Amino acid sequence: MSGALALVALGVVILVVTWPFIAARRPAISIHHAASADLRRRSDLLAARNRLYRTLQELDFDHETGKIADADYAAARHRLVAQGVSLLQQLDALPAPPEDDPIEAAVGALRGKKA
Amino acid sequence: MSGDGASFFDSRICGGVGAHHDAPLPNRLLAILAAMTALALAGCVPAPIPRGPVETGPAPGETIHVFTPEATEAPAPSPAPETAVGEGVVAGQVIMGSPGSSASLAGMDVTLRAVTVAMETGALTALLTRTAVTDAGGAFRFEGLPVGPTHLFYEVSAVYNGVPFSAWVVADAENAALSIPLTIYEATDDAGVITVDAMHVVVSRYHDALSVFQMLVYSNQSDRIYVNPVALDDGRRVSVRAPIPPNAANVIFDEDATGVRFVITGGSAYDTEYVLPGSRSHVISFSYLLPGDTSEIVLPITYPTARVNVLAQPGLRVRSPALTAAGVETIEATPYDAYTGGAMAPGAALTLRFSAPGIGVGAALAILLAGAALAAGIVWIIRRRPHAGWTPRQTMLIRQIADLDGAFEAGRINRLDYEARRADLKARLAEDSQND
Repeated sequence: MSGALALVALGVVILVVTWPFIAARRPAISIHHAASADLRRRSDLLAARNRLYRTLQELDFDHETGKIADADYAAARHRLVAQGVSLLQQLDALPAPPEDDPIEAAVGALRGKKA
Repeated sequence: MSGDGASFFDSRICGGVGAHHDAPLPNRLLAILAAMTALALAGCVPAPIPRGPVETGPAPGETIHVFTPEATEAPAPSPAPETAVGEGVVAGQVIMGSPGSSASLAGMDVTLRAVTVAMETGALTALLTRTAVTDAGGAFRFEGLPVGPTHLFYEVSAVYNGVPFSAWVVADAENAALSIPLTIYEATDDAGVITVDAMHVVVSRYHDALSVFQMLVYSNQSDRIYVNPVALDDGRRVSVRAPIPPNAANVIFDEDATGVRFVITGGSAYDTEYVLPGSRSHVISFSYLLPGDTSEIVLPITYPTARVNVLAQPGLRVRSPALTAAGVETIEATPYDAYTGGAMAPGAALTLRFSAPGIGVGAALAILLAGAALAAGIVWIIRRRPHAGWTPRQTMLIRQIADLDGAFEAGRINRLDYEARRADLKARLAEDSQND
C-alpha cells in the first residue's frame, strides 16, 4: 500500500515538473501536401538516377571485359545517358526547398545541439 | 488472489470458512495465546476450566471438573487390551450445582473409564470401563481398580437431562482411594445470562495474508449451564456463537484437537461445549486468515461485551471509532500497537479499518528527489527533440537524417547514396506530416 502511494507521489512530481515541456510541444508540425509530393518526387528521381548510374557502370564493365560488342555497347550507353539527362532535368525542374523548411530546421537544431 | 499468481493465500490456505488444515500459523500466535490467556484468566474465580487431561497435566489427586459432551469427547481411546484389576477405589458423589433445583440425584447411571495417556504422543488407551448407579444421596463407588501405570486418569461421567457431565482425576500410586465429585447443572437457553468479559483481537501480516486471532472470555451470570436454544441440523445442542468473517480462510480453533468441538454454520462458529456458571468460566480462541488486501474487518458483537483489546502489528494502522490507542505492547519481543475499547452491546460491530503507514519526511524527500531526477531526465529527452511538435516517429526520421548527414560529412557514405537516402527520409517525413 505504501509502495503504491509512493508511486503515485512520484508520478505527481514527474508530471508537475515535465508538464510545461510536454504542453509546449503540443501543436503538431504539418507539411503541405504539395511540398510533400515534391519531396517524394525528388526522392524517386534520385533513386532512379542512382539505378541508372549503376546500370551504366555495369554496362561499362561488361564492355571492358568483352561481354558486350562495341556496337551494342554504344547504343545502350547512348540510351542510358539520355535517360540520365532526362532525370537530371526533372530534378532541376523541381521547386527549390523553402528557406524555412521545418525539416531542415529540425535537423539543423538536432545537429547543432549535438555539436 | 490471482489465479496463476499462486499466492500463499490462494494456494496453501484458501479453504474457505470451516476448512481445517494444519496451516503453519506463526509461533508468535501461540505466545500471544498464552499471554492473553494468562491475562484473561488472571485472578478469575472459580478456577479456569481445563478441557482435557492431556493438555493440562494436573497434579496427582487433583480433581478437575470438566464438561465434555459426548460429541466432542476425543480423541477416542484405544480399546483396552485387558482389564486391569487392583486395589484402587474411585468414589464420589453427584452434586447439583444449580441452587434451587429439586432434581433427584438418586439412581443416576455413572460411568467410569480408566485411561492412560502416552505423554509423548498424547495417544489415549482405555484400560477399562465400568458403570455404577448412585445411591439415594447421589454417591457412587468403583472398586478393584488399577493404581498404575503412570499417567493414568479416571473419568466419571453422567448424563443429566440429556446433557453429559464429567470429571477427571489423576491416579495416585500413593493413594489408592480417590474421590471425584461430579457436579451437574440445570440448563438455561436464555442468552441474556452470557456476557463477554473481554474480546481480544490480534491482527498481523502472515505472508500475503492478514492473520486474525480472536479470544473471547465469557461469563455465565446464572447458576445454570447455558445451552443455545438453536440446535444444529444434526440435533446437537451448542452454546455460544462467534461470528466469523465471510471471507475468512483456514479457521483454526484452539483447544479443539479433534476438530469437532466447534461447528461453523451460517457465518458463525458455535461451541458444542456449554458455558458453565461463573465469571470467566468459558474461553474460546481461534484464528483465521483474510486476503492480504483486506482493508476492513467487521466483527459483530453477539453478547454484551465489557471491553475490547486489539493488538495490531506495526504498520497496519488500525482505525476504529470504538477504539483508542493504548501505546505499544511487546509480546515475544515483538511490539504491537495496542488499542482498547469500552462496552459494546449486542447488535453492534467492532469495525477495524486498516490504512497504509504514512510516508515519513525522509521517504517523502527521497520520493521528491527521485521524482525530480526522473523529471529532469524526461525534460532532457524532450529538449533533445529536434523540434517541438514532432511525433516520436517523425523525430526518429529527423534523427536518421541528422545521422546520415553526419555519416556523409565523415566520408562514410558516397554522395549519390547520401542524396537518395536523404531525399527518401525527407519524403517519408513530409508524408507523415502533411495536413491537407
